[in-house]
Amino acid sequence: MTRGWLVVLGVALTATLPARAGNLQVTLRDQTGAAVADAAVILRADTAGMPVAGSAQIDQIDKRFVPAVSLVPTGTAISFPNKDNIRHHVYSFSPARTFELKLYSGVPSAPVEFPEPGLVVLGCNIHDGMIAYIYVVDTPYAALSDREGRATLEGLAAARYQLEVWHPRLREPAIIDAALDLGDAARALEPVLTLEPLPTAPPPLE
Amino acid sequence: MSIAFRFVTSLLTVVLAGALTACASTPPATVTLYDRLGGAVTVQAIAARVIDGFATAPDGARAFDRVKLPRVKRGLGEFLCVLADGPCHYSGDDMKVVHAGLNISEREFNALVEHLRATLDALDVPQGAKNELLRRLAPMRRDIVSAAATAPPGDDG
Repeated sequence: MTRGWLVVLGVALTATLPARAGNLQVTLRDQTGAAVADAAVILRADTAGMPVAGSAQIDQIDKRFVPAVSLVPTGTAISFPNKDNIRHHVYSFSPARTFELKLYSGVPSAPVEFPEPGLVVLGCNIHDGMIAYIYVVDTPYAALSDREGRATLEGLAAARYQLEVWHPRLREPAIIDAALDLGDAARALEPVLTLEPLPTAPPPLE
Repeated sequence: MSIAFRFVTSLLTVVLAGALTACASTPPATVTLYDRLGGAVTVQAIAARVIDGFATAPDGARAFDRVKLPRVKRGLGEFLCVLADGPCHYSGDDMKVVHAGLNISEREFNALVEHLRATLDALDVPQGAKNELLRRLAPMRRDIVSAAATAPPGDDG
């Protein structure tokens, strides 16, 4: 008798839960077979809605940007705390966000807003080899690929999506699949990217 | 008015006009330290050689670690030009701000001055101009050398 009641309860609870959301695992390789890390894997759909903008931070530590690669939604405000004893001078020529900012040690500066989607490349006017990449994305479904080239996008509503990959060594965003139907299952894809040689450092400001 | 009076007035006017014109004419051009150093070509060569030589020298490598040198050479060239009364504008930050946090020691600063002396000699800058330039640079020591820096080279600031 008790077991009967439990079964009814179990069924009732399951019926009120939403359909299981899908996920997509993407593993990226380049034309040599090497895993592609630090790429932005992006899903677009008309139904996806806009991501929630917040704030982020890119430190300068020992003449490097930390983190070197960031993924943020459009509208994010990024602050650039200088944790070195010496000054830095960050700049970008990227169309998505062109700016320059003098950053003196221990002096807080106003955050910079990133309203437009795109890849933003940062350099330091004073120091060699000081480069950062910011992917500014206008979809809530985006993730960075790890050292194995793997990115997982979860909580996907059933829809038709466009799958894109961004990377500094891609001349333009790579559209992997313009009509990817994702349901509530788990899917895995292994696209191969054709990467250009490593770009030279951003041109100097002066 | 008598003709004589008018004649004298006219004469005075002409003389005064002549005198005033003479005063308004360009005075002899003054020679600047910039000129005596050798002008743009030499000053730019000084900046380039000093930075190239010092940035790779044992006493200079630390402070110039991973620094973009072309920009520094340009800035130093502008700075020396302005210091020597040349026709330039210095677009960089002041020396104190530029060197803040670098922990430049007396030893490192002295080594730079020696590189500068050697460069001026190599470029055949006349002794008088050389000494004058060094004299004008001397007060920069206060802005560049860190009071806290007592560590020998190799110690990261």
